[in-house]
Amino acid sequence: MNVAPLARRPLGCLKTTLRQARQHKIFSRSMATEVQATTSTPKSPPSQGPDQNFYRLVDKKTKSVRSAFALYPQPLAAAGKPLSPPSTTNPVAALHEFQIKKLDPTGARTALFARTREAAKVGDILLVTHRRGGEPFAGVCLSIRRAGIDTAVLLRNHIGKVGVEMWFKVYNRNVAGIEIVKRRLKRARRARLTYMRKPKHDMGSVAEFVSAWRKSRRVFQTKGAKGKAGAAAGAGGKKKK
Amino acid sequence: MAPRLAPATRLTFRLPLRPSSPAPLLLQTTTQFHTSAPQHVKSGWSTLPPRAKPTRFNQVTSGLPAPTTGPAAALKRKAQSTPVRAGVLAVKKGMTAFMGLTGTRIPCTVLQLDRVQTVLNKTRKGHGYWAVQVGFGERDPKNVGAPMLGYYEAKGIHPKEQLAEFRVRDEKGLLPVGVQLMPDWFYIGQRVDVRSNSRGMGFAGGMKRHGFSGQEASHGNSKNHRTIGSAGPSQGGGSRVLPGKKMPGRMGNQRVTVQNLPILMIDNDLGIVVVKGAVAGPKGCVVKIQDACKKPPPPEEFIEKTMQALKERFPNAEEHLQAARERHLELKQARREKRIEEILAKGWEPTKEQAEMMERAAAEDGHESLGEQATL
Amino acid sequence: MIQLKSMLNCIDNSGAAIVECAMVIGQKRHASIGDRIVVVVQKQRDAGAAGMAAASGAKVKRGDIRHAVVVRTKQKVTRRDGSCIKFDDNACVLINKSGDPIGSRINGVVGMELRKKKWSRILSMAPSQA
Repeated sequence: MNVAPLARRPLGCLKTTLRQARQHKIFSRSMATEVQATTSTPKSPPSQGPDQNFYRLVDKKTKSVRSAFALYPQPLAAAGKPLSPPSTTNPVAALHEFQIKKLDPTGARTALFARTREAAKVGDILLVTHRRGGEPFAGVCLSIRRAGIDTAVLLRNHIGKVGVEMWFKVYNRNVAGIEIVKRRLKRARRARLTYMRKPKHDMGSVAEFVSAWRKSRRVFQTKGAKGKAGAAAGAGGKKKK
Repeated sequence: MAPRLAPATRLTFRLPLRPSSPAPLLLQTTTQFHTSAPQHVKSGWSTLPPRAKPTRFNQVTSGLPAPTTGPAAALKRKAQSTPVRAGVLAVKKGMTAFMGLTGTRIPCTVLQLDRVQTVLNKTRKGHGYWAVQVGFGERDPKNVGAPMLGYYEAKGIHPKEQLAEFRVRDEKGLLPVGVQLMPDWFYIGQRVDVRSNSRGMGFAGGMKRHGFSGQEASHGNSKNHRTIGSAGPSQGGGSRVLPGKKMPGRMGNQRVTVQNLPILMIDNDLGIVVVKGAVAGPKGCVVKIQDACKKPPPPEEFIEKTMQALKERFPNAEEHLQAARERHLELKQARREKRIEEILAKGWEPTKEQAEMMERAAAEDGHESLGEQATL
Repeated sequence: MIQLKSMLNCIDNSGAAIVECAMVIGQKRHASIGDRIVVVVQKQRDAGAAGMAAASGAKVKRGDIRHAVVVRTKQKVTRRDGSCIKFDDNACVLINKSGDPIGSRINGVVGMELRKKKWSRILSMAPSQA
């Protein structure tokens, strides 16, 4: 029963828009008959079909109308301006979209953890560069928690014989860049590789993979094209090897 | 939802509506049994002017201080902790986070408003306190009972999914009936109290419900590892369980208020209010948002601005309410006299004002559908 | 979550290898990275091999009661940007009452939270931070 100001609304949610457009049509049709009735023949009996502006309480046995109550469709209630439901029933997703657009304008971060073949997967070795000092943290990815703007990855590494695990929020400004150092040879058959904490499956330090990757990058890099690996990542471009 | 009146007054009030009913007889019979006659009805043999109901103690004339108990005193006492403005109803849509420019992450809860309308003003005189009843969403009339259908009919509002009321400090907090409250009822940075029912845990034991320690795993313990211990002292201590003893029982699904949550974002189009931190209850639960009672109320200018916006958005709310009321009385009479079928057969004739409104709406409709086509 | 009776690795060269938490300083239920605790030295480094000879070189002996700073915890610590860190062991560095480290070297990684809690001396001694 709602006339939504569709033109003013972003067409992000096509389904909702279509649904509303459908309602819109029904409504405008009913409205038109009403207006005609008043303008052409002011006191004539109404057109065929039940009056939409009443809710009838019908006796189940006799099928007769026991009583009826006037209904006020929302546009009338709002006195000229329609009351419309919010443009989406999933505002959290809209909020995520809005923030991701702002924090990841190139879409590189989104692509890196999307559900595609090229994206990073659990079992891959990732390198995260911080914006605020500190060494870049590399580690094997144990888990990816996809939650819109709150998307996070869990990396595990050994630093000086001590296992260290870190969660990183992918879209956080402190995370300057994320790069795939080495892909897992075979697809992991678990969503979360928590078994890699056990001594039997523990990978140990990933330092050698990182240094090998650094070397290979230096070989492939042309002179003066780009600075150091960290700087390249910091510039917003995430290298995928 | 009718104002509570004394039985006798209600009777007299109803009288003119049903002249043919045997009401006068009823009145006679009731007056016979009344030991104290209603004040405004001259009854019996006393010709003295009607007196107010005398209070035995602490009268104004006795020179004693104003009473510290009673409804008036209670309202005065609570005025400090009652918000100035009404709040809104919303649905909890879930939690997410805001990533700040400096890299800080702020966890937040998204609350969505859906066609939140004011339905009723409650007054000190009529109801004993000041409050605004607010409705949320839209309910299919087939799921609404006849009494409530009549209620909404009298308000000129489509049946609402949820109703709740918000106490306000005084009559300044009352709002026009039928206006929609949007997220811009609040401002970014404002502190609000958010009330909702927590997630129900069902019947829970003492360890889960009250954090009891439980009992030993061994040392001769037999099948009593998670049970609560003693329920109280024995002979000498009263041999009874003291009131309020913490015991197993239903846990959760209780009203929880989270105070002073700052508002991070508002959006009229999405209909959302985003508050910092967590709010009790599962996703999809109904929450009440109101100005924080432990913080100073919003600035005067802001309140004025919101009221002005309401007036601009709903300029003829009062006329609409009045028209709805009149029509409701008409229809009510018709229902009582079993004439409703006639009215249905005749169809609804909009008043001049309503017809204008509809025309305007239809015109706007046309514009918008054109605009839509252009954009599509 | 270091509390009474928690066993921690001591990662400096003060001579202690394993210490036991005897108290968390401050009104806290349990200590996290950067918090000060009181510990009892339970095991000395190289104590078994050389007996008293090794112990003489060490600055602390078994049974000593010392203050310490927690530098790694198994319990994950959340940071302001939403990232978390978690180590595979609990570890501490012994300090004297005035807050200076007893040892002169630290072996192993320490948490960045030390910087926020003003333990820059320990941070500068550590070979790596995470």
